[in-house]
Amino acid sequence: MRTVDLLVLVAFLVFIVWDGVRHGGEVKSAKDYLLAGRRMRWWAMGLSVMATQASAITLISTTGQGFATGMKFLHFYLAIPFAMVVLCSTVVPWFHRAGVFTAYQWLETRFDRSTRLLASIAFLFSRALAVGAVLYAPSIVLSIGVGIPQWVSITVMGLLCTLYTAVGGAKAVITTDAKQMVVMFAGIFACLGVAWWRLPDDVGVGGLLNLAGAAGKLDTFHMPADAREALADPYNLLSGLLGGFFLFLGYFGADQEQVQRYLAGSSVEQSKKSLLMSAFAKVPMQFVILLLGVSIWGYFSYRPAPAFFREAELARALERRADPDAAALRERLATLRADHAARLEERRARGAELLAAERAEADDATLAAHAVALRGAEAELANLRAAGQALVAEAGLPQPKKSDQDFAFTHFLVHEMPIGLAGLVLAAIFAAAMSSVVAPINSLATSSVVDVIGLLRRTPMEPHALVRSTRWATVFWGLLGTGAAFFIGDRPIIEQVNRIGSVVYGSMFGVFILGRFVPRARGKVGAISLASGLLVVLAVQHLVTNPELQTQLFGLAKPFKIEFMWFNLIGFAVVMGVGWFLSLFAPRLPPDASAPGSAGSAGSASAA
Amino acid sequence: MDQQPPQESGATEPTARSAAAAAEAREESAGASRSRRMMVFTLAWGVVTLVLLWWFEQSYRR
Repeated sequence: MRTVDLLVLVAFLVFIVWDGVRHGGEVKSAKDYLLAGRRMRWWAMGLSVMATQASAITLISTTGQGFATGMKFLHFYLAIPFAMVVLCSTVVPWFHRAGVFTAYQWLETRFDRSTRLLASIAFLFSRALAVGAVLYAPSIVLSIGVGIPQWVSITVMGLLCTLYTAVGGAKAVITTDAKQMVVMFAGIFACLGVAWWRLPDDVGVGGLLNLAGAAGKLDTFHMPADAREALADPYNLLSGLLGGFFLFLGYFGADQEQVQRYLAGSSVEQSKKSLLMSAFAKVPMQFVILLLGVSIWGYFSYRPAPAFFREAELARALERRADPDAAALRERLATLRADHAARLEERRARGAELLAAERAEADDATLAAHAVALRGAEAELANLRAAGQALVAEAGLPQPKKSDQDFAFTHFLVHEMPIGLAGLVLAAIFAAAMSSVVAPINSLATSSVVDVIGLLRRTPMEPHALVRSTRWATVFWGLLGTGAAFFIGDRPIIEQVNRIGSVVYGSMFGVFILGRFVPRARGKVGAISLASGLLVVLAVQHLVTNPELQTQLFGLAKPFKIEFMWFNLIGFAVVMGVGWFLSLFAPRLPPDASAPGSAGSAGSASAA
Repeated sequence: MDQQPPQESGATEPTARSAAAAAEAREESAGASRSRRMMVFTLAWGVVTLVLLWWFEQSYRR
């Protein structure tokens, strides 16, 4: 890494820590520390909500998705505007008016302590692992792709995040998130600018889009052929619009890491606007990140490109070895490089033919024939990338399962970005990672102190004791997450973290809706319904990941698969069904008895 | 002589309170109306996004 780029990164980190820590002096009450005094403006909260959701892996893997498969990943985000409207009509005003610190306090006012405790424990369990995973995942790519040792990136990000979150509380989280989001945008647009600027004059951005369209990389919408495909494939219209709808209802409506961001609003309207900002900006933002991936694909069609992104690392590793296996691998690598050079030349030729036909305004059939030829050449190059990844595994390099496309962004950053701008993009990766570490640390600390310790104590906690305890809890969760990142290793735990979120949040969102719309469901019905939702989703997850079990139980020849985003809908439906059924046996209530209680009844602490 | 009789003071207090309550209700109603407009606009944006993406995809599909 060049010195100037390193200086840009260090300057960014120093600024962020200073910006977070300086808010420590403004903390005068628990409300200041946990909810930024409930004085935040919508745009700061909105940027924080977006920054919390966008991790470094979003930035790195999404560009990789764009590079390899194009825009299909966009399906995942299509339901956000619709989910946000529902949230703004439901939980945002409910939580805000109840004056709670955590979403789960609201459950006690409507059901009982056991429901609140179960929901908060489910949240703590689902998010505790996430901190380690969010630190670990980008450290692999930064280590292999950029050369920053894994322990350095994990330690620096983990400790700095813990420091400024513990000192400055929620305000530090929101204000630094907002700035980190700006840096992320700057990094993305800088990369896009460089990729477009350096395209050959006879190609340009228009030519790039024509080539990408012909190669199928701008195909966005896919309608599943049947229900089986809709459930098994995460990237189709049905799973995006329906499964994604419940996924985002659960994530933004029941996950304290997001709820705590928008509870900091000075009014209900400010909080609503902060969520609506994501509704407006999230799909365009993901579109731009995917378009960057597509642009990097187009860029490497015209610049010296490796056959696969770990090619140089593999060549260096093989040069250091003298065994016969290494000699054979070196030979295969040389053949692969030669093949790649020939195939890349062929793809350029097919691309040039297509662009010439476009300029000559050829008929649709001619253009379609050129597109088929281009896709054929592209498929050959994809096969070579897969062969390269197989060589990486055979040579015993670390992280052999890490998809080659995940290194597209860092390869572009290290080899193609001009001096200084590369530092900015590196800062954007750190910004993305840190903004999705501080929110879970902050919310884990808040929920563990307010919901769990607060409920176990016999007497209410004094405000200063609440702030002190939450600060220590922040240090605890920050250090635990940083430590966990070192032990995660190459385990499937990262994938599991994302899946656990979907196991939990649909059911949790269901219990909030149950509380509001089924008046006779009260007391233990909340906890029983929530537990039923969680158990059913866990059972479904176990079933769909074990084809043998499906064959044993149902005699299915072809096992079925259900993608994780559907778990939210299943959990939601089970909670509503069980809650409604149990409520049939409860006595009728007077008309006003089912309204959620005031903040005063929200357990040990309130922000009112 | 300019002292206000106690009954008058007692009479203005509910009037002030009801004026404040009315102002608050008006503000709440205006806020609710703004919120409704924002949400309708957001729903429309969700649909417009889908249409724009479909148009973009179709423009470059070969």
